[in-house]
Amino acid sequence: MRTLWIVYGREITQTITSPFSYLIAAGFLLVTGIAFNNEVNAALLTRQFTPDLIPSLLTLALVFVAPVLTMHLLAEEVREGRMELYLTAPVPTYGIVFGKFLAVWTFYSVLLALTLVYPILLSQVTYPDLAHAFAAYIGIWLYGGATLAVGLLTSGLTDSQLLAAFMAVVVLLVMYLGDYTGSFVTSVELAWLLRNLTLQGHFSTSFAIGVIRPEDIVFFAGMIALCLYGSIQLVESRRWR
Amino acid sequence: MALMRTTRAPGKRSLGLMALLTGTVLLVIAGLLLLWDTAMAPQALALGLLGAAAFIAWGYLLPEERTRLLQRDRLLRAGIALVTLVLMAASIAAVYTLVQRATLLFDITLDQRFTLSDSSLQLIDTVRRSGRQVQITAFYGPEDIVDRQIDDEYFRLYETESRGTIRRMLIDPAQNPGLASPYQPALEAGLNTFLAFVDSDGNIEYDSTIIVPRSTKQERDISQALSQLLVSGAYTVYFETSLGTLDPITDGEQSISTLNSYLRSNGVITDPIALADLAATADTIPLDASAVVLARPQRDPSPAEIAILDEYLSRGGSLFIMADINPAVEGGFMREGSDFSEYLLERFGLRPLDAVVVDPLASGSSGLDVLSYIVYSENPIGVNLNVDGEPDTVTQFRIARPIEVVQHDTVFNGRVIDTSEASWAETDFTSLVEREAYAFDEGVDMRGPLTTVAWAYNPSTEASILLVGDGDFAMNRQAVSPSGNTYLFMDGILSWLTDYSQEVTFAPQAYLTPPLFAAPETLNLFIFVSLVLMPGGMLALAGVFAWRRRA
Repeated sequence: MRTLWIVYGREITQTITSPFSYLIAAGFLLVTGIAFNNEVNAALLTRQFTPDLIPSLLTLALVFVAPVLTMHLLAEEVREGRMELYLTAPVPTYGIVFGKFLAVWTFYSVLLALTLVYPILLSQVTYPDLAHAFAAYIGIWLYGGATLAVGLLTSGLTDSQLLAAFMAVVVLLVMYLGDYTGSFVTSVELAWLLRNLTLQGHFSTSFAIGVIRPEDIVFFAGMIALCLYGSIQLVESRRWR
Repeated sequence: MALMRTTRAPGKRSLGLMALLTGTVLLVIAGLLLLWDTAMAPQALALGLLGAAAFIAWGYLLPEERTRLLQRDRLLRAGIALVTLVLMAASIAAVYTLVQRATLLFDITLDQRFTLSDSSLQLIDTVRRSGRQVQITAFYGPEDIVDRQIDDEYFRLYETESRGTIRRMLIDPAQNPGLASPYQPALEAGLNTFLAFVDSDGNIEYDSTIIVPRSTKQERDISQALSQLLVSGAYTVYFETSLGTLDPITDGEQSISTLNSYLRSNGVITDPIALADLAATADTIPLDASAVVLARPQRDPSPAEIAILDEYLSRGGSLFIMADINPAVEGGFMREGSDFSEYLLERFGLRPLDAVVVDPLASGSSGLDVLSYIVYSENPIGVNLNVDGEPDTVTQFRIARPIEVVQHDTVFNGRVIDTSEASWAETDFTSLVEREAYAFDEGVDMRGPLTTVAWAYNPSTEASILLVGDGDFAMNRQAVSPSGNTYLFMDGILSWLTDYSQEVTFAPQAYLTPPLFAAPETLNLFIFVSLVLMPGGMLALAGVFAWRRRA
């Protein structure tokens, strides 16, 4: 556990002191801010504000943001030779992987928390369905964790950050297209199965509509666990490969 | 190892890794397909072969890794890693399946959209106590997978709450064309959900099928359809057939079979009835008659037939009269001074006039194609007509006749639809028929607004009359478009002449979240905070840390 917190602390410190992190945050807030103001103008006097606006927007954004946030996590360590040091030191591999993952998930959580300003602003002028928004935020938080775990896994597959990001984008894009599975298969059962294997399949018809289903939480938690375990195995394999 | 990595071409290594990843993913998908359905073995085999090819490509591109992996101890380690990974995936899948089967759902929306309302729960209780099983049959193709998942949340609520008395069946119409064929017309019209009773052998009673409307208010739609199913058979509407009336059965432009089918699809029994036959046998209109429709009769009822109608009305009957006028023909139905015209005037204060409505302001292709201009929506007949922002909800009459509404001492009566102030009642039939010409003649023609649809209700007998000054509006060629024509017919019969709507109408869950109101200065504050302050603050922090790093 000590290794975990050491790695976590190191990663968090790096993130906090990196100008790159703030540039990502600025871009992130700019995009969500534009979406927020567009929705306010569209809803003005006609309908209620869409409670899941920002979380639903992030489902696609994360396909590209998560790989950018994670591409360096393991690939950079390998390329710069630090992984060799980790592996020769008496530290457990899970501590390295968990520490890095928790650090990037924390950063993402802070970004997400900043967007809570929008519902707070809205509550000054209307009665937004905060419970619905809460469900959507819980969903996108887990969804984000799963996308970051995928990014971490692909980062462990290669020492090229670019290739790691590319692989993560491809995997996440496929997993994002869950709502469109019916467009390229002819069987409802197969479309249902494929959709249930995707990220959108566990977000757009549950958290995004204000419903929390335990199986969706199990899916995201399971995906995170599986990817972290895969990442641990990948790092571990460097000891004997 | 590090030396080998640096001497290998990076492109080749990347390709090899991608092949390894692709091969793994394909093999996992192939395995899942095979587990899901053995009928998908060919597809699984194809994916498996592709996965194997990807592995061969990996071995070809990265021969050192392949050789190292195939060494015994490494193979063992890799095998253990893979097996534990698969075991972990299987454990997660098992937990997922268990949790999914528990069908737990936490609806935390403010207005409880995914929770059944009290009225729906009462209805489900009625279904359970009725002892009859009901099936929700819904059709979804692969392209409707998202709709299917959302709708199924509601279906499951009904199934769970009724403890299986209401069961659900989701069908792919392309894979089961036999099951879909009884529903084909509705499916082609974009309707995909149906309710029907199930007999003791578990077979659907197709005659009882009720179509569930398709909207985003699923609970209201399903509960309303369920209610229609429960009351189906409780209402009977008779179509008069011996006065030269429109045919309610045969398909064709000159019939009203479309609206008759609509009534039946709402669980209303419809049957023909001949006043002439009843008069000949001294019989009366059946006791189960919820309403009698006189659809554009061509002749006036005889005194004996009027007596039958009078007896029916005296016991609280309901009459829907579509009183056309044909300017080219002498006589006809309810001409001024005729027995039935006098009867309606005396008993209910309603009288169709011998004139044709011309409305230059609210008309279709000619001034004789009169559109509804003023609608009195305080009664249930007019509530769906001339809806703001929905121009299709007007009604269109072809050669309509005006109706005089006379205040009555013992009967309530009133207007439903009026023409515009620019309209008039054309009485020069000769000019109209021979030259197709019409013009307002001062002192001869009556100036608008004129009433084209009127109602009357006798509180002591509970008899009710809906009189429409046109017969064509409900014919098949006009019944669908504009939609106001359908509403006039359906709402007139179902909501007004019977108490059907009281039995089956469900209000949607009250949506508590109001529209957004904000002053311009508030909007400016939103823009400042969300587009300037927050991203700008982050940019400033990025600048500070970049400066500190450089320093």
